[in-house]
Amino acid sequence: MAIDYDICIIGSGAGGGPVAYSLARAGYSVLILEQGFFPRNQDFYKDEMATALRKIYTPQPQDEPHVIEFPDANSQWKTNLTTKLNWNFWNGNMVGGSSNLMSGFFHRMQPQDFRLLSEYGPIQDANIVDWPISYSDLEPYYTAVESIVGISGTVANTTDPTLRSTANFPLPPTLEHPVTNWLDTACDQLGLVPLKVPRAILSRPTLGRNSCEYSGYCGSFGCSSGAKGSSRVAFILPALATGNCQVRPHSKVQRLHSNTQGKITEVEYIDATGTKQSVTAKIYVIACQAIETCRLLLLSTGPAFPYGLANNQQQVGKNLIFSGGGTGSGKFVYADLSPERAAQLRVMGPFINRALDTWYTISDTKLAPGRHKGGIIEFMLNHPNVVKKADRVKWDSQGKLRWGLELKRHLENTFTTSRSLHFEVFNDWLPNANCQVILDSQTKDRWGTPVARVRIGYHPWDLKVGNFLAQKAQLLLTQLGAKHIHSTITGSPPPNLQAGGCRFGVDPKQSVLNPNCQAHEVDNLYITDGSFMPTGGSVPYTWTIYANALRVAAHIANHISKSSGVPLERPRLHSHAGV
Amino acid sequence: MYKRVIYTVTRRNFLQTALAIPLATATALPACATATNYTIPILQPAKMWQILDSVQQVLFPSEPNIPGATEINAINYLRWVMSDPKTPSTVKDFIVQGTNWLEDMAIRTKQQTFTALTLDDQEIILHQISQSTAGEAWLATLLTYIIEALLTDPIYGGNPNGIGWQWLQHTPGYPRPHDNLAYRTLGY
Ligand SMILES: Cc1cc2nc3c(=O)[nH]c(=O)nc-3n(C[C@H](O)[C@H](O)[C@H](O)COP(=O)(O)OP(=O)(O)OC[C@H]3O[C@@H](n4cnc5c(N)ncnc54)[C@H](O)[C@@H]3O)c2cc1C
Ligand code: SF4
Repeated sequence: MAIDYDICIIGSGAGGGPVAYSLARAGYSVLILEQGFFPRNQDFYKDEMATALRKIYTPQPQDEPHVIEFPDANSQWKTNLTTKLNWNFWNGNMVGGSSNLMSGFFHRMQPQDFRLLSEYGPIQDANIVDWPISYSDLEPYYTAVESIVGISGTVANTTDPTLRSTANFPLPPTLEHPVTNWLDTACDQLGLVPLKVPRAILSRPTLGRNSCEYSGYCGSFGCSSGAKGSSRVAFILPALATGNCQVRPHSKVQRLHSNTQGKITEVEYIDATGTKQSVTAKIYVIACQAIETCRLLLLSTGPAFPYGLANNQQQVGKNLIFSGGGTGSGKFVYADLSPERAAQLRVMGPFINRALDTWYTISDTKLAPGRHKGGIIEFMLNHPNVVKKADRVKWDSQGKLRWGLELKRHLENTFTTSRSLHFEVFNDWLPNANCQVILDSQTKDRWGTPVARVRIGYHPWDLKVGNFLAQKAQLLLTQLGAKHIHSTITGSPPPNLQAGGCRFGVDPKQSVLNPNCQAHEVDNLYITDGSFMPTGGSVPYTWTIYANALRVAAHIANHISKSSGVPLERPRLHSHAGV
Repeated sequence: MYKRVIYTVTRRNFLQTALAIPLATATALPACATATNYTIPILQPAKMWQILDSVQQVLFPSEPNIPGATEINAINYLRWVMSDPKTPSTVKDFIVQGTNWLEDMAIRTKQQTFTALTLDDQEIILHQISQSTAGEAWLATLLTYIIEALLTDPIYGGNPNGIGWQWLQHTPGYPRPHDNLAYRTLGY
């Protein structure tokens, strides 16, 4: 039977785009199946209605819900549908995936993140393991991402030079908000060295894309200038330009079929008209974001896989992780500030671009004796979305409804007298037996397919570390003179930062994927979204997902060239890099 | 990341939404309307919109130089919400049902249609219905759409010329949506 494509990629987000980019440029025929639509830059507006109040970038919850199992205040497990919980575990379903909507805070994981177990030791009830690759295996790909995506930033004097194979970022930092200076001064006073946060945002036009327009509306909005390094603009559009890549939007993959030898034979999907279609390829790549990737594998039973594709060891869906931590903020009242500082505070547009990574490793008995993995604290101004913020004002502190003139005075007070500086704490979400994906036995999506049932248990240690970091952030806000400083560290996961569920490793009994992110049990299957990650580090994942997907693409190219006997006479990845 | 901020809030909201604003209990009548052997009259649409208009004026009154429900076109915005396929039908039904309950209560306790009551009496009745969970949920739902009318982009029918943004000194982002095509035709 004729095979339609060399590679079929399911999901066009951060995990799918880089594979398409590398392999299409290397001359392979690539098909991307994406369940969402194909936006152009000009389709994106700064519109709270479209991005936050109604769902246009994610499926309607009633059509494609998730079932969430969460611990209540008494640590009893409760189960409910996302429709009922008003909670969304879809993050951005369109060509480019949720990377279209990210803020583009870009961090590499650090070398110790690759060997969490051997560096910091075991923690009871946490399934911590070392990665089967090291930082140096991924470093060339982190560097390649800098050029392909266009990462802007400054390398700090304090950065260990062995961690980078190039001296500088390809682009200077994006413009910085005046409050950044306040932060730098306060850090200086406290003897802290802030990290200048690299951004996946173009600070000047390049790569055929415009530079940032600094409207102050970035995270959770699509980018109309093309400056934001989404998978769509950075990888998929260049892949399409080769003529070797095709994208089929509105194509919801239902399952992968496999034969008695355990090889995938075809992908079945529903197209825009609701018609069932199928397609064949030599290699299949799944990158649907962690929860949906696990679900697709579990749905894809076959003669050799009674528990789901690549799941004979029943590892699929286990050790799902999110990002640990939480948020906090402090308020600056305009009337308390000099006119000059008040004017600085009101500026809309440029970025804060500062974080603290001082406590990436914590050696402080206030947390616990010994050395422990910590995390980072990222600073940002209040999110510009106003409707949701205003809507909360209708409830008073006792939970009673406000309306009339009382509501109006509170709205004025909330919006016109002060501005808040926020922080987000990122620490490891320890993998544990209570965080996993299975199929729900009752709830089906609009095509009649079982939905994912996600248990979101956290490890109590995550809260201890998160609170330790939040206290440090609060000290900095105090130094800055902020008022009403508070933070919330919780065990509830941020659904936009998912990983794990299909860990990679050397032991087929303990992992789904081998170190090349090829399924141990399925020769023609690779997985390249964040689900390969056995531990998540304590930074947002996307740079790591991009880098790893480029790394895996190189293995896929070798795999195809070996199995077809054709020598690899194709340009190598790095020759394409360069801004 | 920003999303985390939104997310945390959403989680808090979720508790409020799930516990304090149980739209799912839309069929549970406010305590005041549970008289036996009594059928609540179903209002004609024109009457329903008049009542909703009056309720909005109490919930978000106009003041000199400060916009209220009238200035932000809250009623037109609500009409758009009620016609928008993205508004869940449970919410639409709840708004309609709540208006019927309110009118029923006005007639039974004050012997007059809600729109004919003095502002003080309207306020009293709204306070009465806010004592029940479903009544409070109904008012909260109307307030949500008033706030949307105040602060969403004018293309959706509220906030004419950005009057709500100006009042709350809010700077909208750019590019702004130039029609609501994206909302209606793109994505889900
Ligand atoms: C508001 C927001 C802010 C963020 N900010 C940051 C940040 O500052 N820094 C950072 O590093 N990360 C950030 N992130 C996270 C980042 O977007 C994700 O880490 C990254 O996009 C995950 O990549 P992925 O490939 O796993 O999933 P995605 O990028 O979401 O891609 C998955 C794709 O698969 C498609 N798909 C799913 N199921 C199917 C199916 N059955 N058939 C066909 N297609 C399917 C989906 O529609 C989607 O397009 C942010 C995310 C959001 C939402
Ligand atoms: S133009 Fe700049 S601020 Fe606006 S979405 Fe793009 S990257 Fe973010």
